Amino acid sequence: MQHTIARRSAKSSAMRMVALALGVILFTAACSAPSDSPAGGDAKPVESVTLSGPNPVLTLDATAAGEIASLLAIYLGQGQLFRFDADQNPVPDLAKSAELSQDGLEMTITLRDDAKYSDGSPVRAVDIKTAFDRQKKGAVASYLTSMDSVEVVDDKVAIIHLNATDPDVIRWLTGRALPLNPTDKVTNDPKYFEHPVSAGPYVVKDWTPGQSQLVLVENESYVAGPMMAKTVTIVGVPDIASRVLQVSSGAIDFAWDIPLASASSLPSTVSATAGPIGGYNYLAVNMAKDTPFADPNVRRAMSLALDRAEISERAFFGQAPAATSFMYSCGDLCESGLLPNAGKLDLNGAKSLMAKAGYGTERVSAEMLVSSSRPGWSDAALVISEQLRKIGIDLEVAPVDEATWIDAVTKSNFDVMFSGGAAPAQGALQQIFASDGWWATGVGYKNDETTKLVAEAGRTRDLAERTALFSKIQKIGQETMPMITVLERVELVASTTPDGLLVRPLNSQLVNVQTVAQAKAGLRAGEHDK
Amino acid sequence: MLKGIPAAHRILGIVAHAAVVSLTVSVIAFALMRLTPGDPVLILLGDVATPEAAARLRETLGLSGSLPEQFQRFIFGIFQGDLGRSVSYGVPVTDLVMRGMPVTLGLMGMTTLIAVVLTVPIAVYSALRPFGWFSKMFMIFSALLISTPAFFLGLVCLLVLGLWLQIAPIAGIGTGFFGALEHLWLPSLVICASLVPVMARVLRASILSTIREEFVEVAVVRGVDSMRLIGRYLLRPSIAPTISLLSYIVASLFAAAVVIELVFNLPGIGTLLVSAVNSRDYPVVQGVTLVSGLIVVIVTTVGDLVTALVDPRTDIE
Repeated sequence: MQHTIARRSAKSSAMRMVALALGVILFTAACSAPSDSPAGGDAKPVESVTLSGPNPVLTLDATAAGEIASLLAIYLGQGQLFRFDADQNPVPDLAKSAELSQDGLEMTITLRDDAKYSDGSPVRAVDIKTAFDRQKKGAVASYLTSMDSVEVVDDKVAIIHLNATDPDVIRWLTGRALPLNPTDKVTNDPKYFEHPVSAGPYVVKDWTPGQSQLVLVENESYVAGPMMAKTVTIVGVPDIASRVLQVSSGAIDFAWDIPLASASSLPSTVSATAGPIGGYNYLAVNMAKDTPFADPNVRRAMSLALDRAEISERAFFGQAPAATSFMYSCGDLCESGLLPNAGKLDLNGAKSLMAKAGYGTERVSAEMLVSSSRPGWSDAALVISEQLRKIGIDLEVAPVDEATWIDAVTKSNFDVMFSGGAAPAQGALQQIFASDGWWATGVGYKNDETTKLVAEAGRTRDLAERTALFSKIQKIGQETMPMITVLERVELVASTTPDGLLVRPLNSQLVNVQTVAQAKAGLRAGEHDK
Repeated sequence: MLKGIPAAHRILGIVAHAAVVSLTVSVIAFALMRLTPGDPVLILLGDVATPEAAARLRETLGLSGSLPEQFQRFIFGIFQGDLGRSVSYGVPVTDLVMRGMPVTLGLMGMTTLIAVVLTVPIAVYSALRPFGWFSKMFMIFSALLISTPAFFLGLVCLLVLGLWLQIAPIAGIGTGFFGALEHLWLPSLVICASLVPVMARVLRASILSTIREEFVEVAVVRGVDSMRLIGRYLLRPSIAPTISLLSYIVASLFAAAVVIELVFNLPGIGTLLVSAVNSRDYPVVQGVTLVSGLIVVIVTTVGDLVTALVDPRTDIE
């Protein structure tokens, strides 16, 4: 009976199924939009570029922004007094000039006469004061520590009053700390930052908090415009594999935080560049706990036992430079070679130090936390664990998510961790050597001398003196070993845009977009005629 | 009153059940999130934030106060229809959920449709020729598909169909109805890869059991048209278990949708939930679990009602 029923219907059912399947495939193929091909290599403006990282834009309010996508949207979509050039030097944007007084305690900022917001209203000096007062209670109030207040002289002139000399004052004001917005709108509209106007190169066209993408269109009022990209879209793609696929297909034009492992599998149309982001990967131990790691000899031994080249090779495909000092390479300010043995492997030296600390035969065991979401970090932790076993230290690698890691440091609830940081040079120094910061408190590092020296370095304007102070602090670090710097942090960026259209300033995670003037002069985004 | 449809007081009971389940799940989420290490304010502001800035933001977001105080605000808020404000985005949780819901529901709906469209003919053909090559291949491939993780299959499909052959979009949701259709067919198909084998096997077994019934033999002898025979005499009596299974599968689609939304970068509430868990966005996690609890109960109840309608033998009373 089954055969009878089957004969009657099987053939027609099968034909129907095949026809349906073909129909679905043909329909979707016809409806699929062709992927955007990147713009050509010569200087023609492109209609749009899509930038992507792991997170979507969460906020456009600089006082509450912490992650890269939001900071980038703010950097491109709001006015800045200064912008970073390709070498991460602040250059005037809305500011016509910035003059420091003789005693270094007053900075007079004069705005450009033609500085306007996208709605046509002028940028005024009071907007600087508003941004400053808000940020003094905001996410990066620590950037403004040396600044007390802003005095408005007239519509175009404001004076920033400092409580101590600070050679980095303009650098602190660039990027995330002080984007400018109209005072009346900021103070009167509680939802202003959902649809801000802009005095920057772009203005928000389409965004609602919670959306995965934000669209910026060119701001015709921008002082340095027009731009080479008419529209910029910032989209969050949390899944790494999806992000790689999207940049490979051209759905995304520029993506950061791409795994180094995928560099070789990207198609030839994608340019993959591993660049420094102004940070370092490090091992930190909890010095507040009564463990063998509280002994600086043990920490120095750990540093000497690390084969940094091997860690870079196995975890980061040889792209991350080995650290030789506590700081990353930051130009003239940062001397290299200040780690024990300049960061080179010295297994015998490490074993001697362990013996000196009383652990020549006794093994030391602990748990090592590592963030599981960062490409390569878990691998690096495993390699480190392997290497330290040779000097009698057994570290069990425990991958945790970012939130758990932050909690562990805040509560000093860890033994050892492998992690990474990124900060401007002075900020990096503060992070490692000043005892009153969040990180130093978490790892239990207390050193009055380095704390004092860090504050002094923050006030010293003379480059030679500053460099000497940085060096002195790090030499004390050789003795006290607050952290064991392992590698300089690099991040892989994949791009299908024409060369020079989008440039990340050195040691920064922000992005500059090329202006038409730069393109005509043969300059890349952020570069300027010197 | 239709046979198989419960009385009004039963419906009220179902509604109350849905509310209790959703509330319980949400309370569990409240507790679990607060037991998990991580401070949402520090995650949001980063490590350069001063303690004062963190404290101010905590106050603004309603994260200050003791746990009982936070719990009280949470429960009172639910009864007032206020699910709180997102820590990460600063907007009402309701807005975020309402924005993501159409995408997730669209994905679940399309998955259900494709699952039904594929399950019935596969099961029928396989049942009618239980020893044929199709049936044997089906059994082998169904085991393979069931054991393949959805995220892996999704990535492979993206690579082959999206990147190499370019017949499917790589990510996003598109605009409008047809845009959504274009972007959802592949993710739905990926989810169906593990659902259809299970449902088809159940339906096949049910049809094989029904086919031995006397009334089917009589229908064949009487020369009933094949389509009518399959539809009325085989499928209808056999489909009840599959509908019940479908309703539970649809309810559990939400879990599958979380993974698939991440792989295909769909802006649904699955993606929202993962992001909220990672950033310890308590109000969003609580709100999404409340809504998902409601969806699960509603879908399973609807499934039971449809089963009763299709096959009055299965009266839910």
